[in-house]
Amino acid sequence: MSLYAAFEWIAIALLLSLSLRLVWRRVIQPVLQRPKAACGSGGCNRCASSK
Amino acid sequence: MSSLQVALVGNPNCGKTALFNRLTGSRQKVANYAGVTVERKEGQFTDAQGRLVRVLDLPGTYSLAATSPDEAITRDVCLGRMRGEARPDLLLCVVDATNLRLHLRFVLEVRQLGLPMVLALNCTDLAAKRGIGIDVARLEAALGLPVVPTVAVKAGGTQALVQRLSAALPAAPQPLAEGSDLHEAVNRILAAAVTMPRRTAVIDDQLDRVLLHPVAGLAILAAVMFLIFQAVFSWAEPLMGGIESLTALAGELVSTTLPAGLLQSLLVDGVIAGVGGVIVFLPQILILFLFILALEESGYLPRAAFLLDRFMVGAGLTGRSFIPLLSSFACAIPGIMATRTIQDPRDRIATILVAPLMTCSARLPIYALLIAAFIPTQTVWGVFNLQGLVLFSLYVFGIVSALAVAYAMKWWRRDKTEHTLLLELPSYRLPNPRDLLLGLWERAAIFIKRVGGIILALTVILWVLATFPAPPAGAIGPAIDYSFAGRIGHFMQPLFDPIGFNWQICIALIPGLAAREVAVSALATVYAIAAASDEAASELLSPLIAAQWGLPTALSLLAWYVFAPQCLSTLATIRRETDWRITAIATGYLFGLAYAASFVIYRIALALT
Repeated sequence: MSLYAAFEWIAIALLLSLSLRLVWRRVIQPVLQRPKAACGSGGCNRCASSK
Repeated sequence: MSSLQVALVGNPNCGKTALFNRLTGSRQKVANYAGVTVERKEGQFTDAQGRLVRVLDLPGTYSLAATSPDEAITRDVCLGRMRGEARPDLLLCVVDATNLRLHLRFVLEVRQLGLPMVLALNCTDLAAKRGIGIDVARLEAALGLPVVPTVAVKAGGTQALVQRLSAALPAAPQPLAEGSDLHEAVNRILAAAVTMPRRTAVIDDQLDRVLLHPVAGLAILAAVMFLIFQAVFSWAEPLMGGIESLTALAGELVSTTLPAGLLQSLLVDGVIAGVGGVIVFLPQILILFLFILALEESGYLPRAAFLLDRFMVGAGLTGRSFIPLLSSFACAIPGIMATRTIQDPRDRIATILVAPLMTCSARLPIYALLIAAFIPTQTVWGVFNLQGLVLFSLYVFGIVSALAVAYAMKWWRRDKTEHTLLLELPSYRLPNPRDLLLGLWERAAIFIKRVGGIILALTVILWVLATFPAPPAGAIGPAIDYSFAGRIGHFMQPLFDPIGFNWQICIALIPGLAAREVAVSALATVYAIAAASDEAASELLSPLIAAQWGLPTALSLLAWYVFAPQCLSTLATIRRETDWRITAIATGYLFGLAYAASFVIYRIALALT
C-alpha cells in the first residue's frame, strides 16, 4: 500500500469516527435519553414536566 | 464575596428579555409580542464591587395566580418553590411605561411577596413620544420602591440599573393592607405620578382600523404572506447562482489537486456535492427570516393572531395557538415549546400535534430543489413568479392540513367547549435595522453550523455507506448498487414503490430523519457517486433529478414532505413536552397522512400525465 493510500484510509476513518460520534451525540442520544423525574412544578425547565 | 440572585419579572412583552440581554450580554430571542420567553433563562455579570450578579429571565405573567405552564415557572421561582433554585435576593420588576395601568397591578401583587424590589420603568422613550409624563420621584414615593427609567432595546438606562443593582439591597416594600383593591391602588399611583395625554396612539388606532378589519385585514395578511414567498424565489436567485459557482469551483479545485481515489471521491462526491447542495439555499432561508423578523418586531403578528382567531376556533384550536404555529415556520421545536403559553391542556396538545405540519425552514431546501427542477421559471398573469406561486401553495397546503387535522380532533373529542382569546396588542414599532441584521446573522450562523455539523457528518456516513463494499470482480451495473446504501435503498423500494419513490429517494429518507434538509445532501451524494461510476459529468442536482424522475414522483415527494415527521428532534421535543402516547399518535398519524397523500397525488399525476 502506498503512503498516500494509507493517508487516505486514515483520513476517511478519522472523518467517519467524528461523524458517527456527532450523530450519536446530537441525534440518537437525545431521543433515547429518559427525562429526569418531574419535580411537580408545572413548567420547570430542569425536569420532565416541561423541558 | 457572596453573589446576588436577581429575577426579572413583569407582564408579557414589557422588555424583560431585551433588558436581560443588555445586562448579561446574552442574545436571547426578543420580539414585539407576548409569550416569546417560555422558560427560565439564566445569565450573569460582575458589578463594580466585583460581586457576581446572577440574573434570571422569567416568562411574563399578568398575575402570580398561574394558569399556564410558562406562568407557573415565574410563580414558583418568586415563591421559592422551584426545586434546585434558591429564592431570588431581589426582584427586578419590569414595566412598560406606555401601559402602566395594566403593568402596575402586577407590581403591586409582587410587592406582597415581601422581597426587595427594584422597578425598571421600560420604554420611557415611547412614553415620552406619546406625551405620557412620568414623575419618577413621585412614582418611587408612591410605590415605596427604587425606580430606574430604561430603554432596553437601545441600552438606555442600563448603566443606571447596573449601578442600582450594585448598591445595597433596598428594604422590602411594605405590602398593601389585606383586602386592598389593586385597581383602586393603581389609580391612586397614576393620579400622583403620571400625566396622560388627551389621546394616545393615534397612529396605532388608525392602522388597527385597517389591519384588524375582518375583510381588509385578512386580504392584507394574505397579500403579505404571498409577497414573502414571491420574494423568496425572485430575490434569492443571483445569490444562489453565486454559491453554486463557488461550490462547482471548489469541486474542480479538489479534483485537480488530489489524485483520483477514495479521498478525492469523499471530498468531491460526498462533502462538496452534499454540503454544497444544501448551503445553496441559505439566501432563500435568510429572505424568509428577514420578513418574519420584520413582522415580529413590528407588532403585526398578534394582530394576525386576532384576525385568524375565528378560523382557529372553528378548526378546534385557539387564537393562542397562532404564535406557536407561526414559530413552527422557523422550526417546530420552539413552536412546540411555545405552546406552554396555552392554558388549556386540550388546546395545548392539539397545537403540539399539528405544529409539525407547519412548513419549517428545513423543508425549504427540499421544496426549492424540486420546484426548481420541475416547475418552469415563468411569469403568471404578468407579475407572479410561477415557482413562487407553487411554494406559496405548499405553505398553504401545510396550513390547511393543520386546520383539517385540528378539526378532525375536535370532532373526535367529547368536550367541545371553546375558549375566548384574550390577547394584548402591542404598539406598532418600526423594525430596527440593527436588530434585523443581528437576527439574520444569528439565523445564518445556525444554518451554517447545522450544515458544518450534523449535515456534514451524515453526508460522510452516507458516502461511506454508498461506497463500500466495492463491487465484486466482473460485476455488471453501477458500483453503488453493491454498496450498503444501494442494498438498503433496493430493500426499502417495494414499500415506497406505490408512491413512486425510487431507491435513491428511499436512501435519502433515512439520514433525512435526523434533519429534513439532509435528504437534499443525501440525494446529491448518491447521484454524484452514481454519476462518477457512470463516467457521466457530475452536474448540479436539480437538472439531474429533472432528467431522471417524472413529475408524479416529484409531486409525491413534495406531498410526503408536507406531512412526514422526518425529524427526530421534533419527535423528541414532543415526548419531552408530553408523553410517549402523544408522541406515538403524532408519529403514526403524520406518517400515515404522508403515505396516503403521496399515494393519492402520485396516482392522480400518473393518470393525468
